[in-house]
Amino acid sequence: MAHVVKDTKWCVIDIDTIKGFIFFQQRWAYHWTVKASIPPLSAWTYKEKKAFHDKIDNLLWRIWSYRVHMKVNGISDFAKRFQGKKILINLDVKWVTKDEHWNVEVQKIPAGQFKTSSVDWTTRQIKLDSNDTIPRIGESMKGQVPVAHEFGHAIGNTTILGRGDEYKSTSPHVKDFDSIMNVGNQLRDRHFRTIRDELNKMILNTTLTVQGIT
Amino acid sequence: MKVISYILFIVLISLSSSSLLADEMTSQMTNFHGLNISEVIEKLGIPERCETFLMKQVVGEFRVELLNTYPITKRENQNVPIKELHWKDGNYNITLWFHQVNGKWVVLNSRRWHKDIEF
Repeated sequence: MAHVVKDTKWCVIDIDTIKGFIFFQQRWAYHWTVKASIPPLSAWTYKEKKAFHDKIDNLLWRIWSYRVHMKVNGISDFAKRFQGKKILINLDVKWVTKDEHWNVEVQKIPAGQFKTSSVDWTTRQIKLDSNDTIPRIGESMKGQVPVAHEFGHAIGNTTILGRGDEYKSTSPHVKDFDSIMNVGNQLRDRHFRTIRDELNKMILNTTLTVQGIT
Repeated sequence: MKVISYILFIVLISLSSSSLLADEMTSQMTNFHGLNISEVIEKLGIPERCETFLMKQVVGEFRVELLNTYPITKRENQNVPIKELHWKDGNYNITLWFHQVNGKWVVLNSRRWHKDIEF
């Protein structure tokens, strides 16, 4: 039992019980659209689509991957083997054309324009735009990269589970401006609760908890 | 044979349409853009909540489209006041953003979205 793998509706998780490592992946099926504009925008080329996905891949790698380390407790072989050791998570998005976890509409919009992006946890739909890989600059923007924030929703930071946007006045974390689910780019332990809950259903007598964020 | 081909064509069209993402979960209410507060209240009733903020205080994805009209990279936009009014409409929420034009608050942007949508 080197790998314990669970493919859910919203992600696939692979626990490597020999190396003590977790691989988390979502399969995204993109739907490319173009905003009607004057002058008209060109249709997405394959090169542009690939460049957009590659940027997402790099941003999620930099902002979300290998940043959280977990600890394991329990009486399973895996728990005993990695007691007191750090277990890292690599979070990844794979571009697919079938068997997707998420449908992702990406609208091409003019450079410099803004469009509200969104995530629907229930139907697993994400709406992005072509400027969502560019950091938001401004007094109250904290350099957040929109796609990294929306990915945060897609990994379970959703009001449906009682953990949605933190910039709302009703959020207990409204003053934590650096948090990625607020207007910043920093991760918090709480942002991994849904993943942790899923992990803890995977190996009998094994409990994983977030030990820290780097 | 022609009838079968036609039916197949219709089925294919409907299948390809269903693969597109549902727009109705979040949309703009462009028919409200340009209306003043009294005209809006006449149509939607008294709002549930109202917030007023300056453009330099715009935070979060939800309000980001306001920057298309008032980019805060321009100093003169930073202190532009915006009124944000909220209504509930069954499982949906409605938010209208107002700016001042000739001394009157008029709708600048809008969003109607399902309560499960995150921004």
